[in-house]
Amino acid sequence: MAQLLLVDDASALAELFALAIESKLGHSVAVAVALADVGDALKKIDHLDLAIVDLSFPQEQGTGLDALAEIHLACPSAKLAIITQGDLWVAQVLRDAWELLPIATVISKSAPLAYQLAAIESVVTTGSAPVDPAVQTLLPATRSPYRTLSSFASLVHHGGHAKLWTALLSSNDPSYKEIADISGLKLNTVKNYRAQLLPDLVTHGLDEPTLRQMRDFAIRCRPFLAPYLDVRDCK
Amino acid sequence: MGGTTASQSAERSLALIAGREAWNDESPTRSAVTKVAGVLEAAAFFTAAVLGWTYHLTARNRPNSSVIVLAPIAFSIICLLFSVRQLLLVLIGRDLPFPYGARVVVRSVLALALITSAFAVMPGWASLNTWPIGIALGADAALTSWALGWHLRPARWWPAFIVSPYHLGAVGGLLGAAAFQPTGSVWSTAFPVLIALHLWVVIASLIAYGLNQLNDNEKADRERAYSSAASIEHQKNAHWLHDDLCAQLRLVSIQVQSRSIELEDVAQLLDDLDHQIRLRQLYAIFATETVRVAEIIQPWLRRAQNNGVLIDRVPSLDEVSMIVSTEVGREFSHAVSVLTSNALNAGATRISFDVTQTEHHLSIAITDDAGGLTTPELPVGRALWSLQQDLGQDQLVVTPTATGTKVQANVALTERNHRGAVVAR
Repeated sequence: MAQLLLVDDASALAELFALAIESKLGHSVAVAVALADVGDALKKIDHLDLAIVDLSFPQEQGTGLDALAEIHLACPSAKLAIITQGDLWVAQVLRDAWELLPIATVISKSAPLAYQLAAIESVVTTGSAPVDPAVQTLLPATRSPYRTLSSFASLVHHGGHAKLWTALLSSNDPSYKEIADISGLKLNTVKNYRAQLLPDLVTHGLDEPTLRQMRDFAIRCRPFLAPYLDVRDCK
Repeated sequence: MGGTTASQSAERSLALIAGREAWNDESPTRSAVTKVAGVLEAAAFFTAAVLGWTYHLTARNRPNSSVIVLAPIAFSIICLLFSVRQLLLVLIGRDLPFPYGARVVVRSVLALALITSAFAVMPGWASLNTWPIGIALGADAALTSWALGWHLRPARWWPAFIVSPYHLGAVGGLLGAAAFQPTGSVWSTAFPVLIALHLWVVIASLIAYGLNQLNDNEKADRERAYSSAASIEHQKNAHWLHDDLCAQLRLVSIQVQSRSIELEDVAQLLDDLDHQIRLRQLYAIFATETVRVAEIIQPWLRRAQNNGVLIDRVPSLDEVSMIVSTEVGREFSHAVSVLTSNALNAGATRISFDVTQTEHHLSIAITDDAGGLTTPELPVGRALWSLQQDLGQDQLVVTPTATGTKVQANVALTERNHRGAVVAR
């Protein structure tokens, strides 16, 4: 019997799905219905074999990417699976998760229950399962070898970059003026820092991004960027 | 910016000197007021050049120094340079990728040369003829501040200019020179230049204020239009929720309550409803004009999956990340719909989806294991036949396979739907 963790904000659906997994597959399933509950759920579990995480949490500030990153950090040996509607709303988050984390499979929420259970059982027993065809069209054929968790280190060369990212994360409608005001950096310094980061942002699929696109990327990938913003000595 | 320290003031000046293109990371804003400001700046520089030549050619006492003779040429070249560049920015929208420092240096040198040559061409009280430069400065400052996200306060410019060290120094020098040159030449040459500079600042302030008002009005109009469009969309959604979604759910509910339906049929009805919702989602995306091929085929992948069909092959994001125009998207969606429904109705148990793109066509091929079909067999009036009529006789290719049929539909990417397909990340 494997220990699973299901993270999904649709509480009724999550409970029902957990029951189906327990009754049909015989595994034990813990359920977390909010991103903030993931830490507590992990503490209650001795050993985690598989975490199944939804990506969309519209009532919260984060996404399933935050939960996946937290689980991966706490239990590196646990397999990670995504269960999602797999539509435009979550396409970019799905791609980020797929490229940055060792995702064992992606399950479509609209797939028949038997198909979903078969995918889960395959991950538990073999370590992976084919990505659901309905979601496959949102994922690249191969993962970029350059886009890794460690590649985020190159997005913060020094404390000035940390200030820029921190300002972008707290900005609603970023402009050079607003970022300069928030960060305390000069206008041309903000411009220079952005220019310095452009080559490294290409790795993350951002080609000549605007400040707004950089802000969206920073918010989406906050769990991977944040560690580098915290430890740098900001001048 | 609102800061009052010397360094903030210098930073502000440098930001303005660098110009709007230094701060324009986004694709160019083609709002009406941006175009108006760009054209106004171009026209102002052109007018300044014309006024310069008019004065130069009609002046009674033209200086004969070689430097002064070259001044009108230099003045017109610089004016035309600024003018043509602005027009190109309005028409094409992109500037050469100069680094920030280079922009500041080049524009500073050109500005200095412009001021020098302007007062050399139109000396004394004739320097008041340089008023169009004030218009150009105001328009340029407005464009730069919009790109920076900086709220302009033009009402403060003239008072700030009066108490600025540059102005006070100029006034001090003027008074000093006047005290030691009793002939009055200072009052006829240098004093008018100072007045002309004041004229530039006042005109620039008025122009920037006017453009700023236009910009604010345009923003407000845009917000109202967005709000109105959102309201219409909400009403449409509410209507759809009421008429289609709730009615369908009610139907299922009554059937379940009256025990007139089996559980499997309930699941089928709910799957149908799910499909309708996803198609509705797709139609909403069509309205955004940024639909990806991946999003078009997704509802049909789910449809096939929920019909118990095994999906052997689907394209990856690399193959279906193209963004297509709404027209191409709708035609492509229709083709995917007909081909998938055809395979499902024929009793397929396995299906493969393939998408290819050429210069002229976006193609979907669906391979099934539901027995054979050849083009002459297409029943007249049925969906597959209609699709063939829509696409063209040669654009629906039916190929028998060992276990079934491969049907490929080629949707034209013609000038009619000129946006065609563009590769997106």
